[in-house]
Amino acid sequence: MTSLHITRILPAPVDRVWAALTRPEALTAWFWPPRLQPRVTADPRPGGEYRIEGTGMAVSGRYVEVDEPRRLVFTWRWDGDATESVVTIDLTGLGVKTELTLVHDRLDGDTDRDNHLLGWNDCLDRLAAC
Amino acid sequence: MAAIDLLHRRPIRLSGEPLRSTWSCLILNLVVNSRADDRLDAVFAAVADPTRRAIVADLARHGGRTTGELAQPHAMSLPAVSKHLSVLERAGLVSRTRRGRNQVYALRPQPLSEAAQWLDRHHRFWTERIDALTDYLEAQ
Repeated sequence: MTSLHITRILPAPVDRVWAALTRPEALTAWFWPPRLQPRVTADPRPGGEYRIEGTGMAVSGRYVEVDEPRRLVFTWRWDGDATESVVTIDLTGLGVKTELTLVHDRLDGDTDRDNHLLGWNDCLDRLAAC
Repeated sequence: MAAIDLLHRRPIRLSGEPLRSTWSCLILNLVVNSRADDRLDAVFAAVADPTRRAIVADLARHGGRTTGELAQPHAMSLPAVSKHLSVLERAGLVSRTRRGRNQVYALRPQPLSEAAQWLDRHHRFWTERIDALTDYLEAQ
C-alpha cells in the first residue's frame, strides 16, 4: 500500500553504477558500513537470489527483473521480518553521471505483486509532483 | 488541538513544510496504490478530490479548524465544504467535535501512521545507502 520514492544523480556513468548495484564484491564494499563486516552473495538474473549480511542484520530476496543497465527489480525481506517488499531501481545514463530512481513498495500479504508493480509504472509520472 | 507529526508521533505547531510534503506524498501514494480494501477504498475516494486534499493539508498545518475556516480558501459554499468534510470523516481521516455553535475538524492520522513509520524508516535507510554508493563511486 505504501511506497517510498527517491531520485538521485550519481557521479558515475550508468555501467559503473549498474556494476556497483549488482556485483557481490562491489556491494560488499559499499552497502553496509565496513564495521558491520558485510558479506554479500548475489546472482543477478531473474529468479536469482541475493543476501546481504552484516553483523546483527541481514536482508535477502530474489531478483524479479534484470534489464542491464536500466532496471533492477528485487524482493526485499529483513531477517526476522515476516513481510516482504519490492525494490525497483531505474537507471538513466546522463553521460558521466547517472540518474537513479528507487521505489520501495511495501506489500500486504494478499496483494498481487505483479499488478502492484504495473500500477507503479503507470503512476511514476504523477508521483514526480510529490 | 495540535496536528500530529506522523514521522515522530508528537504534536507539532503551526508551520511545517516537511509535514505538508509528507502528507502530499502519503496521499499521492494512497491514490496510486489503493487496493480493494474497504477502508483504503474510502481513504482513496476521500483524497482523490483536490479540494479534500487541500483540506487535509490545511488540517495537517493548523490542527483544529472550523468549517468556516476550512471553507475560506475555496470558492464554494459552506454546505459544499461540509459535504467534503463528511466524506473525509467517513474515511476516518478527520474527527469532528462541537465547539459552541461551530463544528471543529481535526486530522486523524491513525489510518496512515503505520505507513508513515515504514516510509520514515526506509527513507532514512535508502538515503544513507545511496550516500554510501555515491562515496564508493567517487572513490573508485
